[in-house]
Amino acid sequence: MKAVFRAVLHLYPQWHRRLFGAEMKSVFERGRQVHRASRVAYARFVAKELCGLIPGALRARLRDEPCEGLLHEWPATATNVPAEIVPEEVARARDLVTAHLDHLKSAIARRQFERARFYSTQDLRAREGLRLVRKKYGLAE
Amino acid sequence: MPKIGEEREPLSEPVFLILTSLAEEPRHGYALMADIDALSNGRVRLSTGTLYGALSRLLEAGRIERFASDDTARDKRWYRLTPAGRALLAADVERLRQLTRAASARLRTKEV
Repeated sequence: MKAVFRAVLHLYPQWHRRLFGAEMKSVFERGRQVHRASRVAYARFVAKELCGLIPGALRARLRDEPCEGLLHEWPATATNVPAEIVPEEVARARDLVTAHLDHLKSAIARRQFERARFYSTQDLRAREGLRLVRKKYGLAE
Repeated sequence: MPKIGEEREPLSEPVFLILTSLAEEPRHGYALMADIDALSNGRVRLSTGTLYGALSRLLEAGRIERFASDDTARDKRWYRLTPAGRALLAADVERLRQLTRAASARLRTKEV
């Protein structure tokens, strides 16, 4: 079944496979293991997967390749600590990172690359600022 | 093709459930599927194709973000809501609340 899944995955455009291929295989494999106990449940699972994959591949092929920046993988550090347990200064620095990131993504989405470059620089500065205040309060990065 | 939330149309059920699941905490692909199953009392079971199709459109629309965690496997990525994604979910919840209120009011009128 894994081979069939991999073959169907090849119906997706290359950008989709590059971004999500490994994850999709891993999620499918976990689902397969969960449904293995019963033959009926397994057959239903496989049928549902195929019914989802084939139209999904078709829809992905009909779409334009998304802007690379929007599908960028962001680091996990900036917004993972709940606001209530960090000092005000850290929360402010973190908000600044989020704000610059939002501006950067919006600029990329609108293909305003000059503006995107500006916010990219601001984003790096804000991240450095966040790193320093986190260090000041002894918080892990 | 319009991006998710661009035309103020109601969200599709998979998209609504994905945003609802991520409103609580960041999740990876399989955890999202399992949570959506639980959220909908087993009524909605997303396939891998449907889930990643919706995730890709939400990422493109800036409603969610994707990140890798240091303590997870190479093929596992986490997703979290952006402020724009939270706002989109809140707007759809409000739309549903208004509809529910209107429907309840009409049902009550009919009962009297």
